[in-house]
Amino acid sequence: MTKPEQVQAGEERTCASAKSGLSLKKLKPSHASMVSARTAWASYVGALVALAVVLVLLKGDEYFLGLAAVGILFAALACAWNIIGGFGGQFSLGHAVFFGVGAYSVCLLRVNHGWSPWLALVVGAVLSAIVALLLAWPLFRLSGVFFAIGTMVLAEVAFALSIYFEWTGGAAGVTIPFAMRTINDTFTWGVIFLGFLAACLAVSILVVRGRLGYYLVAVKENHEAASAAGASPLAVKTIGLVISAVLTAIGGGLFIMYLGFLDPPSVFSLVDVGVFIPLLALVGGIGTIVGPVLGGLLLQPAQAYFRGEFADLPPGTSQAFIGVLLIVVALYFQDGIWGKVKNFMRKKRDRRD
Amino acid sequence: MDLPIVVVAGLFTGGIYALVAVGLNLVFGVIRVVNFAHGEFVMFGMYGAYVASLWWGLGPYISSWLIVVPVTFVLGVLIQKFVIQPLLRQHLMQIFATFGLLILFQNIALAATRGETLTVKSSSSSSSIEVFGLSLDVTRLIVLIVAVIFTGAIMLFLRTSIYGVAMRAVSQDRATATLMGINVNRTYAVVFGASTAIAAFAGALISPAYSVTPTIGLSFALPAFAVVILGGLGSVGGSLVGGLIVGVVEALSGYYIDPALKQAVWFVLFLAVLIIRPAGLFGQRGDVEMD
Repeated sequence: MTKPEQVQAGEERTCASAKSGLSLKKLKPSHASMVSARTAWASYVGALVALAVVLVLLKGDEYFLGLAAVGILFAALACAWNIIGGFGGQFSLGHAVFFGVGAYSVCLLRVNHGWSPWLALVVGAVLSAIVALLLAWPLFRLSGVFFAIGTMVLAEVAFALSIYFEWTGGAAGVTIPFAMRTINDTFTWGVIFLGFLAACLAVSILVVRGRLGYYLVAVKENHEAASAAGASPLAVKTIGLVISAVLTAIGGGLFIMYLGFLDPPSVFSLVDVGVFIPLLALVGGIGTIVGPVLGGLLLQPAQAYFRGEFADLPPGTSQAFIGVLLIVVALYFQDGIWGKVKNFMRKKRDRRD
Repeated sequence: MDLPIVVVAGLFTGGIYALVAVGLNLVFGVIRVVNFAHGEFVMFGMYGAYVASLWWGLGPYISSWLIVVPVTFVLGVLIQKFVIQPLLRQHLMQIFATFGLLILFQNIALAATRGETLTVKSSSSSSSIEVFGLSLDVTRLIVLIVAVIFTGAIMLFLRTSIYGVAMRAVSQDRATATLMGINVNRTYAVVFGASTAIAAFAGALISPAYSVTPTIGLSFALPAFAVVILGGLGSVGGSLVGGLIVGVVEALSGYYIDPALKQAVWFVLFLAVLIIRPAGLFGQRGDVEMD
């Protein structure tokens, strides 16, 4: 029993570009995995309830409640990114584009046309799906690092366009007047974000357990073999990107509704959005269901807190820390928190067997 | 009537892009690594020129050779050794790690300068010469000439010198190159150091013409990415031609459409090339795939 395990571990190390949480073992459904699927659903629900309890406990403390709420939102965004970035292995640094589509849809339709923000959110999601569909063909001609470059450049172009046009509010961005904000209570926003996180998690689980998840992993692991087996890589990746883009746009729209203003440089910021969301997924564990959520819940509030605590230090100190964290995690902590936990559990189980 | 002026301005900008892209392309061609922090070395070069002129009164054309090139070469070698080398076959982690370097370097510069905009004074700052009735900015003219000479020299070096042949051997087949007695890791270190030094050198040369800010790196790195993909991955000559094309297109669109949209214009160009010829204008098919 120990020998094949060692071989598998060795193989995993050699193909260790962002590891998937799905090991080959999981592809064979067994009675044990059906049971564990049911307990897994139960533990997801339990974790969400625990987060709700945290929100209730923090009620009254505006600062920490705000940190927790935004942490939950970014956990959801990392979860959404992970669908194409983790399961599909398509390393987008341009999710700020979809985030921005959602944010701008909500702001502009609300402020200029008096729409309900919830309806505007739906429009943003649909627009984001269309944008993702249009971009998929040229972008997926690129692979690996070049896909990352392409998406990064795309986000820069989206930024340039958003400050160029007048109807988008130009460089000043858009502010939603206070009277037009429907919800101003941080606790309610926390609950809304939690609902959004639950939705992202559910989509993510359905993708992984469904046909699409296997296709995505197959395309990531071996492009040629996957297409030979009948999974069109372009179609598979496009569907993954669209799902991820729709969720990211909803997250962007919700975030702007919560903030009440839209500042183009922060919406399209590479450091705060484009690279930050993948970083959350990486720290938690890329390609797993739980990892990105864990990364978002831990890292986003932590960095916001430290940014506030160390406001006296020279500008850029907290950002420099994020840079160091990226390097260290990429070098020494590639499996992320959840990857490490999983490895530990697997070893323990194997020993018991 | 204005067309020649705009084209010349574009060629000048293109010279800068080419010089920045050459190093990026060299690293990609030999090590198969995309260094997202490449633009930050341009920024370092600019700050280096500033510090050298402030502290020791050295002009950028002297300090670039004396200080900027040696320091950034060593920095590049260290980065290759401690960050790139452990991640040689892990392309996705390379993105994270080099992006981490980008964020780190930008914010070190931000913390050190507190976001102040600095300018280097040089005798070439405001001087211009007249050729065929066109007034040419000397700083930028020098950069263009240097870019042409550098790319020519690198191409010659790769074609004829024994070290150049070794580098090409490493880029084509790492394992066989090792068997032939080439020290692959040392080759990587030298190539990476050279690429960062060239970028910083470019930064020092253009410092009299640009104001330095901590985030200026990306405004050279992004076009350089476009140049590398346009000119063909791993093709040094393609970088020069690609750089000049991107520079001219940017100048023309800036003049005839709107300067604010120049990025969007070269992005469309970049997408068009990818769709028509994924390997770039001078690249070979298959170069785009990594390992």
